[in-house]
Amino acid sequence: MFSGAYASLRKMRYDFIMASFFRKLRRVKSQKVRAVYDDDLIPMLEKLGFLAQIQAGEIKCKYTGEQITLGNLHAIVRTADGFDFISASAVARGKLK
Amino acid sequence: MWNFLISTYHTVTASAVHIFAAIGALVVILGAVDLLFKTIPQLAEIKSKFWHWLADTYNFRKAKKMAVKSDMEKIINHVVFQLQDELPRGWLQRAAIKWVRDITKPAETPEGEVILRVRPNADQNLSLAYGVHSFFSRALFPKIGDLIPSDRRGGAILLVTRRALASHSPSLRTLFEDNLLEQAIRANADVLTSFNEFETLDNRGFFTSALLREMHEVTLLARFSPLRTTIGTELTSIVKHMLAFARELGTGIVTTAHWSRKGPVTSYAFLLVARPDNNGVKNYVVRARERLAEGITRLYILAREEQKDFALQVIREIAKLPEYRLDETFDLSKDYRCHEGGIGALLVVEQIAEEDNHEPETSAVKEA
Repeated sequence: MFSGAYASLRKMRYDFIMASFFRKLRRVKSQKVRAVYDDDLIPMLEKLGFLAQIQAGEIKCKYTGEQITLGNLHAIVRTADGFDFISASAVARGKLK
Repeated sequence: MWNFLISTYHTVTASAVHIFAAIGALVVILGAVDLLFKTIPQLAEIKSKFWHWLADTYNFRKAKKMAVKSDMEKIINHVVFQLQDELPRGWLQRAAIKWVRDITKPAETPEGEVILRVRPNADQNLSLAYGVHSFFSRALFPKIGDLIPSDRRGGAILLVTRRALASHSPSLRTLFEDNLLEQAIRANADVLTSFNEFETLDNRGFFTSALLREMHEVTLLARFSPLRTTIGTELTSIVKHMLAFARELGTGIVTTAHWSRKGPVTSYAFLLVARPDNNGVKNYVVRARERLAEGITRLYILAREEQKDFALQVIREIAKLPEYRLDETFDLSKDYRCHEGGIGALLVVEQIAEEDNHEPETSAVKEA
């Protein structure tokens, strides 16, 4: 009786360990997170003419409408006809998907 | 001469085969090593230190970028790996930072894709915190995020972000509170209420085990039904129920009604596994049957780390009941007594057709 209970417990532990192992295999799949370093971003913005527009206060955040500056620029999203600029405010960051 | 040419040809071919085989093996080994460094947190730490050392010693720009990338991945993935053990399969995936060098190239910046800005030097920690928060903003509640009230969604993302940053260093936790949390509360005061409520539930292991699952299930089931407009109300009701349950657990006396909740969309119950008494698993199976009789369709079995073996027996016996199906087992960050660790399981009630219900009774209760 005890050897049967012990074998059953061993099997359950084995099943649980195997389930944990297969859960660890999930780590292989990844989700790409695109990022741009400032050293690459600023020259690109300058080349595209956006830097001058940002410095002139002409670019607004897509979600909050606030003025985008080099201090609060958080993210860029490519659209069909250009780029959207996202500020670092909580509201704007919260709306990013 | 001809023989010489032929033998030279054979020698070169044989060597080429060996060379290609060696290159192939090297590629496989390097790929495996790279994967290990990405998926084992301790190796990710070593990789991060290496890039930092290279960047500090030789001031290579590329090494600096690699150091920032490995830091972000290390912080995010440390908590992603924990959450993968706590949450259902497929919810979260490991983050892989990809640097964009030219935002004008469609291959590097597909339409609709968010490109995070990362600042060097003094602002780097803040970039790190924003990056972590942005990752979880997109990773948690995929597809249904818009249906969840913004304060609930925001509170959940902030709690998970804090877990990620606090596990790395106290200074990042302070930075999180001074910047991200403070900004979020000023933008929407309700976020603080949700954050505190989720933190209370997280301290007893209910946040990732039961609450996030119920939030997801309710939203999924209600999104294409007339109940879609009541998702917010339903989620509030679930949070209130779980808070009341958690509060009573602290006092040691739980009202019978609070062990379960029947809502218009989902109904669930908790079964907490304690140290076995003389009856072993029987009492738990009886309680599981009682929940069935009440009409509960989702049963959360939660146990402390010390009771893992006994909990597995309980889960196994209840899963033998024909009405129940074991949906998944998972780890807990904390158990219902606020101690580290624990295991949980979710059993769901299957609709069984009457003509198929000929399964022999195998539960411990019936055998007794």
